[in-house]
Formats: sequence, C-alpha cells, structure tokens
Amino acid sequence: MSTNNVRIVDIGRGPQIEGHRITVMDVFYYLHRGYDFDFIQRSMPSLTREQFDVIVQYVNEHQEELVEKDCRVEEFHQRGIEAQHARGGIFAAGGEKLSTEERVARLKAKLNQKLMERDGAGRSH
Amino acid sequence: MPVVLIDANIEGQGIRIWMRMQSAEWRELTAALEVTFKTFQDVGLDLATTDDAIWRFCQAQGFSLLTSNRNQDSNDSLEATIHREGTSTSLPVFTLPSADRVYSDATFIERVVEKLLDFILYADNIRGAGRLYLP
Repeated sequence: MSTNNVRIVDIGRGPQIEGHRITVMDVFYYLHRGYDFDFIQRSMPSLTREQFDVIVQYVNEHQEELVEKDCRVEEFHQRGIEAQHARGGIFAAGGEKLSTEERVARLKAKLNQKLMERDGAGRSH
Repeated sequence: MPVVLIDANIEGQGIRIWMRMQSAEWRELTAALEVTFKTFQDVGLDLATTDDAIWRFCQAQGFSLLTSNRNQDSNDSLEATIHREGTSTSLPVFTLPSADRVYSDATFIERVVEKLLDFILYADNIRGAGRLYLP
C-alpha cells in the first residue's frame, strides 16, 4: 500500500511506515479508541499527515484483523502487569488515590531510607 | 546518571512526563536521582531503527527505553529481543500501555512519575527485570 511518497511495508514486525519505526498498530491503538490526527501527532510528532492518511487507508482495509491483534496485545500487557504486581515490593501496584504531595513525601522517605542504609553500610566497612 | 530514552511512538508523552518530573513538586527528587530524558534526535538515532538495534543501543549506552511498543510478532521485536538477549544485569524497558491517559488523566501522570522515580531509586533491583510497566 502506498501513496507517491509513503508506503506501508512489513519487514517482520507487522505493517509499518517504510523508513520509520512507527507501526500501524502504534497508530491503530489511538484510532481504535476514537482519537484524531491532532492527538496522535501530539503523541508521535514525527508522524506526518501523509503517513497518517496512508495508515488510515490501511486500517480501513484491515479493520477486523487489527481489532483482533489489538485485543491480543492488550491481553499480553494485562498478563505482564499482573505478573509484575504479583512480585510485590517495588513491583507492586501503586494505584492508591494519593495527592501529589503525598506521593512526593512517600518517595522522599524511601530516598532518605536508602541514603541512611548506604551511609550505614559505608560506616560498617 | 540514569537516562531514559523516549521511543518515537511515545515521544509526546515522554516529553510531557519529563516536564512533569521537572515541575516544582517533583524536581527535587528528579535532581536527587539525577534522571534525564533523551529523544532519538538527542542521541542521533534514526527513526527507522529496529527494536533489536534500539535495545542493544540502550544496553551499550546505559539507557532505559520508554515505549508503548505494541509489536510482538517478529524475531527482532522488542519482546523477542528482551527474551533472547536479556541478562540478569540488563537495563529494563519501561512500558506505558495506556499512553493516551498521560494527556487525559492528571492522576495517571502523577502515578507514572512516582513509579518511574521509584524504579530508578531502586535501579539495582530492576536490572534483569525485562519489561516494566508504568504505572
């Protein structure tokens, strides 16, 4: 698929813009969730309007398979997130409803604790 | 000095996160941890660089990649490269699956900043972790 200057190619990582690492799936994530070109370009400033239009054309012709692939990617990430959180400690979920000030204070306390541990370890040697 | 390399597919969000890390609330912690963010352009990487080449570049330079990468299929995909070439000392790949929320959810970006700084604070504990999700 191409216009005069932009082609969609598959070099083994799924359809992508020739000469650019942005893939159809990268852009489809936003299209599928209702975002427009302006939003997508804010996320990927190197994406041109011409490249976007070619991707939209590709999406229109492969909608079903892209929806299915997007679902698989979401499931993959969800499994990864759950496995990460299950490790506990610094890998645990931190989704509590805290204010920014509380988050900053929590992290500062961890930093201070780590500095104290490092200083303590230094003194003991 | 920890360096986070922003992938091309998430450049806008990466810069926004970096700006938030330099806000009045977060900048003291950001400075204490000596974190910095770089774009492909900053480090002279071509926008066509493949996943495996980027992963190797990051490991060689001591950078952690920030991406919303959604490709898993090929042998040179990020996921395949992490599994094939990752070791117990490899630097992680920070992954932001819901990248759109950086723009739409003020609490979300605070959680991302906190989690990222938390991971960087415990840098030795996250080596070899492969892919780490934010937040």
